[in-house]
Amino acid sequence: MNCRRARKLLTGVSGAGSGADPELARHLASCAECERFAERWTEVRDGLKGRLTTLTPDAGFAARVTARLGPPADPFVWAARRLVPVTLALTLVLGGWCLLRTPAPSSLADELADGDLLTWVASDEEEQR
Amino acid sequence: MRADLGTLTLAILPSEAGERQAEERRWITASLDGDRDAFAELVRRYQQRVFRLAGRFFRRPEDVEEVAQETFLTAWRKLHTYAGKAPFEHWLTRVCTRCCYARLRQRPDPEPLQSIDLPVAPGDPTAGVELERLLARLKPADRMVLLLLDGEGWSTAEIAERTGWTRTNVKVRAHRARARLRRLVEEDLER
Ligand SMILES: [Zn+2]
Repeated sequence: MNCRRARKLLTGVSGAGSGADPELARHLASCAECERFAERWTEVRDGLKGRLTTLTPDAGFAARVTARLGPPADPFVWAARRLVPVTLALTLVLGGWCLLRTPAPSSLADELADGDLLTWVASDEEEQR
Repeated sequence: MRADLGTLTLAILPSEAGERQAEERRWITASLDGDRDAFAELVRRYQQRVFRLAGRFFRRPEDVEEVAQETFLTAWRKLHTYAGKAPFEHWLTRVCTRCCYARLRQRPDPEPLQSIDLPVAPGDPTAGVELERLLARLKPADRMVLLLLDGEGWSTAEIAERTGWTRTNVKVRAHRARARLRRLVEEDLER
């Protein structure tokens, strides 16, 4: 085993993990540099595990947060949440009113197909002459 | 008697948890309607959890406080996106993780070492400072993934879920981060 392979195993970068690899153990016993690296790596890993700033929020933290609160949620989403029922009701009322007042486009189409419309225009012209 | 006590404990615990959840749901609904007092209750319930996670990434108390505030302010703005399918704590942890990452990226070289009260390792009084030097030389994403894997002890899946990165992305980043850290340690030893 060469140093490169040994260090990849030690750092878990090879994906294999170092766990009780006899070949690695033999390499570490015979290579002072890798042994030093292994010690340093263990210190770094332990340091990462223990690296924690322990800080307890004081009694005023929640108040400091609420003092900075803006309008709830994204303003547009919030407004939409509020406006959805109103918009829906208005649409239904207006839609119903329009349906009662105006013939539906489909019924108009039934009454005057393209051919009939041309006939109607032509006959009108004849009358005007 | 022992069995009875066991049954009693089992009978109480779920109802207490249910009550806690119901209370939390009420606070969330009220917060969505703009009730700041209800939101303050949510803050008080989870502030310790948020401070602890932020403390993984930042050494200066003012940074921890600032990112914790940012977490709750974002939660307030985005509360309508919480679907209520997972526990609120999970959702808030995700918000906090992303706020921490955003801050790490804003301030790639975050803390002057002399301003930090570093823990002193029993064997080596310089170990804490050395670790900070190493971390300062890593990219924010590398620092993030290493502190979550080794510090917080999260799995690849947990990191993916909370950062919004894919699992493959987390694995690749973790691999690269360890490789970079290995090279930095080697460079230090060669000096
Ligand atoms: Zn070697």
